[in-house]
Amino acid sequence: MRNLRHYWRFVRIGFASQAQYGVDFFIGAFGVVLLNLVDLVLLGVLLQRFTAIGGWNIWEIVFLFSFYLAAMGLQNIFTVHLGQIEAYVQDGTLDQFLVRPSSPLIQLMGREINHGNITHVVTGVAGIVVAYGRLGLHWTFAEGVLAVVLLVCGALVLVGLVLGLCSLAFWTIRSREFLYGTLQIQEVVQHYPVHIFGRWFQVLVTGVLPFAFINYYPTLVLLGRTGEAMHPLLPWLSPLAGVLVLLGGIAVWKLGLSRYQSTGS
Amino acid sequence: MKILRVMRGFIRQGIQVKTTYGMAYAMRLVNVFVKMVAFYVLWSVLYESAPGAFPVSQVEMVTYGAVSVMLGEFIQWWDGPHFYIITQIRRGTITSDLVRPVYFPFQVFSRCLGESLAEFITVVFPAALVAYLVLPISLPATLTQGLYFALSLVQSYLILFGLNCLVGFIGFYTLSLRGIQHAYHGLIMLLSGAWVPLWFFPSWLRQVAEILPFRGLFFTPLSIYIGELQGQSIAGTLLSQTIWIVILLLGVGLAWRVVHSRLVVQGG
Repeated sequence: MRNLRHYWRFVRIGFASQAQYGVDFFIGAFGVVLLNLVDLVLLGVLLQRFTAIGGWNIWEIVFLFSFYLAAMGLQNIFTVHLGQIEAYVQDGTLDQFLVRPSSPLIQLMGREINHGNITHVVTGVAGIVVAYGRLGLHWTFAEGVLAVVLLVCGALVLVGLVLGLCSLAFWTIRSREFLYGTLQIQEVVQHYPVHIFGRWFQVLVTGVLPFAFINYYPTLVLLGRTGEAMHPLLPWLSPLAGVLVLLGGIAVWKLGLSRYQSTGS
Repeated sequence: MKILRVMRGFIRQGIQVKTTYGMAYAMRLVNVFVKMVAFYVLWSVLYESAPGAFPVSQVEMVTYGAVSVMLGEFIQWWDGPHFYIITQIRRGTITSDLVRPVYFPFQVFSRCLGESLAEFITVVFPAALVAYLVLPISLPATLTQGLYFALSLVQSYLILFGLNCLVGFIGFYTLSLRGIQHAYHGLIMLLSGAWVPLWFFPSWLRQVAEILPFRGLFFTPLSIYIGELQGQSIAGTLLSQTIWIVILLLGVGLAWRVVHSRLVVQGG
């Protein structure tokens, strides 16, 4: 409870500090919309030529990608500052979080709220809704709830991954390559159904870097295509994966923090 | 001669920065390679699903995808001059750049070119070597075609430098570039052919892309590389790149005069 209260405090401060840069603050929201539109336009350009990719038609792909956008937006709103762990470890300023009577992780995450990513979530949800209509889906109330749960769990997978990758800085000093490299690969991949990349890749994004649980497996569940996974029960593990990956990320962070020795200055 | 000496310094520094942290360096290599494989697989799948939709052969198409990844890694459209400029502005350390007796845009250029070359030597070259051995991607068909490609690549680098600098200068006014960078990267992503080649564009979008400088970044060098552009049409395309370089570099010169005169140093 106390952590939550602190978090809320930090967020308000962070928000005020960002609003100082007025012009960029507004262009930020506009920029994200533009970036998403670009992605969708290019995807549209491709799908206009190739009516299906890996047996999925345009609206199934839009559903898949929109699901990713929404999950990624959710994650990014709250955890964007984790990317700074590397910098804090390098110059020893992580100390400032350790001497305050509040969870260092909460302080870190509260430093910055990436409001621009609300537009990711909005674009993503809009995409899902449009695709839902075009695909003629009819979810029951329970399935609607399931969709929301899967979305949140997809975001949690990403949070866990990002936290774990950023925390590698405790060992390697630099973690940017791990984070951005992984996210870049992910950006290429999340536009398409994972199975087009072949078996070894499916294993990679299921077991090693579990991207597939962010949008591919949830989409299989929600579109009733679970038979396409390597094992038909695998997609149903998405909620479990969300919790496990998050716990894994926190474990890496804790382990790293315990061996942190300030560079001192 | 002096520039070469300066450049050598930056390259050496860049290589050290990139290889000091062993694990991170290894991870970069793996990343670039995996990205190339991902694009290779993607275009293979698309090609096999509709060969008729492509104006080029399958090998040419997957080569386009893989080489595009390589270019994207070192021409610095993501964290090049604009990134450097805004970092210096925000830290206030831009003052130390300004007291040096070297024209600021030129300093930025040599620093970033040094980093690009270091990136090429340490990351892109090894990853590409493996890719050429493992994936069925090809080299330019003839030596002349290869030379034209090299020329267009140099020009692409200069166009990007001009664009990046102009975007970076906006930072002198806004003191933050995060949002502007999103928009800017979106434009490049859409109009440069980095991901989807321009020949798939609907004609209105293609016309827009033809007018703007962005296609000179990826589409032009890549089309020359795979031989989609040949003979006469190469000359015209290279010329349009050159025209953009002139316009953009003049723009940088002018903008710098304006920006410099009203510089506010934050912190420092």
